[in-house]
Amino acid sequence: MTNPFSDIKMRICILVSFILLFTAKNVLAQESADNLVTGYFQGVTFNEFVQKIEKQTAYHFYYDPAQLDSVLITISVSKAHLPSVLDKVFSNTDWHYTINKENQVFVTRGFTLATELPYGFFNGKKDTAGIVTKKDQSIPGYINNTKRAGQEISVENKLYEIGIKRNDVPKGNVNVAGYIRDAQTGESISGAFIYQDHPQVQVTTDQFGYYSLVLPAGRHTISIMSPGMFDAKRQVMLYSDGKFDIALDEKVVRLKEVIVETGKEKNVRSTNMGMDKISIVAMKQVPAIMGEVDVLRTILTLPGVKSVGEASTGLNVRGGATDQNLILFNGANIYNPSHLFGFFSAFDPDLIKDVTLYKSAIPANYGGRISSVLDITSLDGNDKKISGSAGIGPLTGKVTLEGPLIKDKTTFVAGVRTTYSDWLFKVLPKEYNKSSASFQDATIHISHKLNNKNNLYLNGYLSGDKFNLNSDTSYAYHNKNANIKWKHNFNNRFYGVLTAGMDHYDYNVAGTDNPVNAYKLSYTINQYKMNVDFSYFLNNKHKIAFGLGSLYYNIHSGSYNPLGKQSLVIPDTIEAEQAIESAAYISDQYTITAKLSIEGGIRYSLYNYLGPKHIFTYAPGLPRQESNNTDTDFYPSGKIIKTYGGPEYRASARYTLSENTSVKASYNTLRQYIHMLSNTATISPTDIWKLSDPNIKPLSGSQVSLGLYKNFKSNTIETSVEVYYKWIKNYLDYKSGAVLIMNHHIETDVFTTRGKSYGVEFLLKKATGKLNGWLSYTFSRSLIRQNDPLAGEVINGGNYYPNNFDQPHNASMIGNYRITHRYSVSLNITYSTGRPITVPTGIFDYSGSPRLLYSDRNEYRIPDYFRTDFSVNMDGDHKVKQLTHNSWTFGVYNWLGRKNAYSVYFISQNGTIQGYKLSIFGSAIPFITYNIRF
Amino acid sequence: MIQKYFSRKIMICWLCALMLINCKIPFDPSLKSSDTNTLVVEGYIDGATPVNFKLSRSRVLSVGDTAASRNELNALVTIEDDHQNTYPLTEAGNGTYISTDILNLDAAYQYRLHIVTSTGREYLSDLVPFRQAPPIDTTGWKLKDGGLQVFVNTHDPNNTTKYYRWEYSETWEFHSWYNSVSEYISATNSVVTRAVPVHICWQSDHSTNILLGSSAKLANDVINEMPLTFIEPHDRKLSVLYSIWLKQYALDINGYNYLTAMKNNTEQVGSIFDPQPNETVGNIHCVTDPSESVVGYISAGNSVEKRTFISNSSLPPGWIPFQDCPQIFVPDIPDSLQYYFSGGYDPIARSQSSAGQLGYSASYSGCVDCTLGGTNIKPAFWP
Repeated sequence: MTNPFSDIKMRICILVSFILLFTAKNVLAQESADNLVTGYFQGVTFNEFVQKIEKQTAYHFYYDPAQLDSVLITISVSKAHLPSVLDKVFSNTDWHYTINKENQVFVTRGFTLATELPYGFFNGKKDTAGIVTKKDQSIPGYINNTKRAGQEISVENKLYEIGIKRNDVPKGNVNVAGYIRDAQTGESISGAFIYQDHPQVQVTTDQFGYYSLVLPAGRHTISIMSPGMFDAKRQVMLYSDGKFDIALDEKVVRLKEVIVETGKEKNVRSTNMGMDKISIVAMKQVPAIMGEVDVLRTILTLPGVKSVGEASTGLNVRGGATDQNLILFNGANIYNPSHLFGFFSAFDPDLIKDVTLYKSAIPANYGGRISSVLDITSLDGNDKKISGSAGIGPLTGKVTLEGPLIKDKTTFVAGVRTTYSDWLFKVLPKEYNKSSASFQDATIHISHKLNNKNNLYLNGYLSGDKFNLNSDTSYAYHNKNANIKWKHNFNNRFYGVLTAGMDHYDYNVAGTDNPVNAYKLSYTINQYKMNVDFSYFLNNKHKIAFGLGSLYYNIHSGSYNPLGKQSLVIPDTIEAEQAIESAAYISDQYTITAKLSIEGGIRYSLYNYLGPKHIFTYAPGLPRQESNNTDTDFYPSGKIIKTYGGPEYRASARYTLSENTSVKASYNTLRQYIHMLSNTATISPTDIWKLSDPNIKPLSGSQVSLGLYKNFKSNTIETSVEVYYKWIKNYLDYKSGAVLIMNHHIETDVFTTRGKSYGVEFLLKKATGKLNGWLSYTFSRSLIRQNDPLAGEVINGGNYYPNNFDQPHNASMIGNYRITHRYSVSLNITYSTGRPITVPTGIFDYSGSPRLLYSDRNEYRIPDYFRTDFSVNMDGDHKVKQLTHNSWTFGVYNWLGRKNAYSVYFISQNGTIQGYKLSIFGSAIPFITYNIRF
Repeated sequence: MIQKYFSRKIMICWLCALMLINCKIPFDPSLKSSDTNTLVVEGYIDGATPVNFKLSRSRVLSVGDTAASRNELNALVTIEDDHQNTYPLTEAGNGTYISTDILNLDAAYQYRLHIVTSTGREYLSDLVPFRQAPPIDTTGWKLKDGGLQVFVNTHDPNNTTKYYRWEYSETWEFHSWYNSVSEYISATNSVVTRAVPVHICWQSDHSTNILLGSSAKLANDVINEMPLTFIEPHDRKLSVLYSIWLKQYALDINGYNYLTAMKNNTEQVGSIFDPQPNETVGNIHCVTDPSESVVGYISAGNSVEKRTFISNSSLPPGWIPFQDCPQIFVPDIPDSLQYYFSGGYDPIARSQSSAGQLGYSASYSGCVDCTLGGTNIKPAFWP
């Protein structure tokens, strides 16, 4: 960043441009503490306001009380400079003020009083605030921000010189690039919009908060917009290519009530389709089970995202199975994103910055899963100061620490969370009250700036769960992930990121109830990956991304070993699996005209299944059963057993119909080479991930979608409709009585199906104002079909049948109403059709009991799901000088106490058949949270 | 300037009220009743005891179903081996088809079941090898949560059985709370000396769960403490003497898997991680219409049996049934006799009230007359 006040000429230039706004004031830095304004004013008259300020400071006001008697002021400030306070008070009014050297304040209407030449006009001292009087752009609502006041507010009227200054009028195009950051914490802001209307140019920041912009040389006003931040403008004078970092002010004070906000008109402007980005601030608003803010459960309120029930955070995105989502946490692939058998997600909310879900237009740099990408990013760490937080909740205790390690070079954020949730089981039904469970997770993220061109990012994540469900069988699973990213800027327009990482997931089950049969079952996935990704900002019309990467899988598909000296269990190990998945991609974001932009990409993925491994061959034309196994071939280590691969196409387009209306379309194809095998409807701790092999083909999916986006009331209300149709090939379903655990020839217990899903999603979102939130409705179907008798079994007569997670109607509402700025109420309403289950069609007697006859799969549905939660958020008073800042949240989860069905099942008990409905949270669950910060 | 200060946030959360998580409630969905008429074949081609097959039909689902089985009558049921020998079974009513004697089956042959129904439909099972079950080592018990867990231990020294199935029938002796010597005769509304004692009775039950065990994952063919039945604390079954008669069968892997699936479908559901129930296919096929499904899996072999007694005296002291048996006095007045003794009470003995009135001591019928819950005929095997 260049210093805009480096020479006098420049200063004169500024003064000329603001000649009418000449005024003078003391340099802020020299102002005595006494001249700072602190206070909380709500609906006070201008008279009262002035009296208070005159008491606190040396200022004296001159104004006409009769003219100002109708003005009421609501503002909360802490140690603010008077000009910044008055700027806010008078914003969007025709009132002006002028302050002279004698601390006299003149308030005038319609014109500005010029008192004298500005301070710093003749001397060379730093004058960081050139002007005082100005028309700020509108600040929505009242001002409750104590932080913004602490920052220089006049930066927007500064003129920043970029490039090597010349005396002649610059010509040609100039490239500006830099980072957009949070002024308070130094946190980079991804997805921020940088635009200018004449000539029309718009770019967004990438995952690092980096942008690159091409503009004609000369003078420009660029606007920056990002959810949760104050909109900003910057005056720039472009001479030649240069760097320009921009700091934005946070709109919301942390820990206070929150505003759900999207990128305003961003949904209309961006080419991204079916993309939802939620900041942690918005997530904290959703009433959560036990008051634990939950990343995955918030994602579940978005249109097109479902789960099979409350005990599951497995996401079904647009009719895809739970294994078809690429869940990335700082680039690490998380195989089991849940804690406590699926009640909670495994991400500590205190460390999360935001979450992005891609469900239709999936950028070409992502691959490997066919339904969606869920990209979770952690905070970078405050670069200004060390700060920390500690929390104790009903289930968890956690500590977070963040801050700079080396000033201006290295920041870190780290957190650990652990549980003491055993008490929960005491209140659970009898079946579970002898259970125990515990979980932990730890996250660390370090970012280090080597120099202006090179940055390093280090990520580590650990999570572990351990539980037993009322028996002597205990379960444990762990995620362990680490990666390092090196970002190198070749120049303003071109940078590359090299990522190397490893992801690990394992589970083990130990059964000790019978010493002779005592066993330990273990399962492990290890993957090692290396990627290199490049971004090239060719010009404002083309943004090109390309890269390549490889992923090496090593899966120990199961080992079953004796536990204890008495155990007679024969050690058994399923042969490990190895494979390499490689991909290269290139994509271009092409803005053809201001109205039309397209993004096209191609990704070529190549998959090699590697030895050492024994491969079974089955007689062609016969059902795939052990008895039809004709041959067993052994492939030595490193030998390629089978290769799959092919191009994946990613295309999306946006056409702007009017300033606040656009249509978007996208087409995507994706491939997936790893399958999760589970014959339970949820994600269970013993699910197996299986690589594609000669007998199990990779999954492939394709999707077309079309959407209409329209914003109303100056972009405060967003609406959208998206329709999609999806085809899925080689989705695995299970033969009746399939054995998935410790199966040496799993291909004989599964068969492939064809799937299709389609739906329409409506979303209405109000981002700002007293009442904010979103309302969504989705109609969707997800069907699969197995009609090949050679696969072993024809299901439901070879017709399409609903998937386990097919829930046609789904509606949800998240609403937040701010009564005053201390009190707000949140309401969450969710409705969905019950999921399909297989029900018995008849009864027969066998072995002394009536038993159930099952035939067609998923022919019945459990009762519809309906839940309402609410919470009330209450902030303490806003006095600045107090020891602690506190706030209360209390609420009720499922406050209507509806016994929503998680499953319906039939059981033969004491000689009769009984049907049961199982509810997970069958009553209203109240919670209170008290937050204190000091 | 490095400005460093530490800010901390402490978050304290708690639940303001006890959570009442209500999980399981009975539920009767209105399922569309489909017309099911599937043939169900249950039995074992047993070389050690007379063969007993039961043929029935599935019926329409209704929750709480207590309807009697729809027995398959007038069928021709034959056991066949792979050496052209046939062993026809005789119909013994209620859909049962039996051999009157132990069949002399050659353990080296393979066997199958052949059925022709009265409507002329023909069914045939796959040929299955003959399997010899090893002897039962012990039927033991251990205390668990105050109750009694009965289990079986067995092993096959040849390491060939691997897949086991058990069925049991249990019998227990119990005593009524009072030993009654008087008996009410309703015809004459009078109390006489009891002719047949109703103090000591026996009751029987049989296994209702599918009991399966496998040693396939073990180095030796050993079944260790496989749970058979759990007797609740203070259950009357163990108040005097209890007997379990256990029958052990050897299965092949497919038969074991078939029954496991049937068990999972009907007995092991209701947890958070249930597998989906599904259709299971056995080894009996309809020859007339191959698309018709049949329930059942035919296995063959020699079963073994073992009877075990558990006496109340071998249990820790205190295993006494909880029974509410207040004693009342019924005056010997016709109205009182009729009121009490035809209204849920039975006389115990001639007695006198504290006021000197003559009458009978009495209690609830269930506390006096054990035949209300069992039979007072001593089983032949009872010691």
